[in-house]
Amino acid sequence: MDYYDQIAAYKSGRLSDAERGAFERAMSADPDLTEAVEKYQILEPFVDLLAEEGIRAEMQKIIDEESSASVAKPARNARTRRMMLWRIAGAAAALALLLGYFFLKPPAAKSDQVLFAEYYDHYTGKSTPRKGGTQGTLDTVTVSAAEATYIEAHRLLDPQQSPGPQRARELLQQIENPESDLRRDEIEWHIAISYLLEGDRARTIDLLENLVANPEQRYLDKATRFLKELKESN
Amino acid sequence: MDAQDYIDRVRRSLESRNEVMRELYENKQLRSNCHKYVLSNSGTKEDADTLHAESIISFIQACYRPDFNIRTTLENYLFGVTRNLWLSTLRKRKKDNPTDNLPDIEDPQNPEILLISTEKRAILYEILGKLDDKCREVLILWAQNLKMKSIATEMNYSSPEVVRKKKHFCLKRLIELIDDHPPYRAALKGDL
Repeated sequence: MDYYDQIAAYKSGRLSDAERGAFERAMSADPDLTEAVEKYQILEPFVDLLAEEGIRAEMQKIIDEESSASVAKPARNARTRRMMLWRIAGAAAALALLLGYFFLKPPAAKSDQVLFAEYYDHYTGKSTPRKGGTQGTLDTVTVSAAEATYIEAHRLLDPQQSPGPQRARELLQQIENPESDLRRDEIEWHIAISYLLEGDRARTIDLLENLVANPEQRYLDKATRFLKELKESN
Repeated sequence: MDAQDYIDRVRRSLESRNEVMRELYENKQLRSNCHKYVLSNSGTKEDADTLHAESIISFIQACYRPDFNIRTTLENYLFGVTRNLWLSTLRKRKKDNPTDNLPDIEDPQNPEILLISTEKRAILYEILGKLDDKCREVLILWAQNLKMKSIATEMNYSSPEVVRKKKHFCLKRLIELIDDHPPYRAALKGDL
């Protein structure tokens, strides 16, 4: 090991206790080593940056591999879908004639406000409260501070309120210890759909896609249906 | 997620470190936590993907500091890094585009993201840019604690001894480049 190898190992904690002790003794006895340590101090930021480059290169490799894998999947799915479509095409044509295809009209596209209203869950007060936590009051009912914040957020999730949705999200995000696990899932749900009140359907879709990635989310089924509807009407 | 276990694996070898990076990157819960936070705070999906990768890079870098340890779970730690990185990004965007409707945010205080500032990084890259590609490649591998034998295999050199000489030459060259860059030496005194 040359001086720089020893110094790099010493700085990164890779030497054993005995080796570290020997190195420290050597530093005070060997002027060449002392000079090398001084030079290394100037080199150190470069060494850190070069190590970072190596880490980033590896991360990019991982990202690229994941991207390649996800590009291949839709292609395979598309082929499968095309085969399925051909098989059912004949049956579908016959059914369409029977149903009087020309009398069926596609449903009118729903506005963001309508979609929000359809999927919004009004506050019901139902949850299994956690024990402990600070208490607040809402009118004559005693609720936890977290629950009071949750209720206020719901009040602001009203298309008539301004700037309701943004302030509602701020409040929902402040709730670190919600009343229950159900509340936690509800908070995620309501943050996602609140963007519809601001016409930001794309962000709602992104957040719902993140929500449905969690198989334990209580809103999984509802979010899956809603995502389908949002994407079909986009 | 036991943080110390991950830290030990990162430090064990380059192969082990790369396995950790892949595991963390592919971890659905970690990705979901990051996406949830970024998307709920004015970010896009692309922003969230970037932050997810950056938080892991930051963790890996920190593992190489001998005094590094985490007192909480790795999940919480990575979320903290994500949060601070995102707040920094928002702050910079707001500064570059003052009319943007981005929330006001306070300065992040996490020291992790202050390891190498933007200004210092620019000077370092300017100097490193003058190294030839082979030198840069050897030093990148050496800086990641790869043994001479592994570097020889990676770069098709005939022996570890050849790598050792190359590395010695490249470090000497780097020192010359630094000596030829007075602003860097001056900046070092002011500690960028």
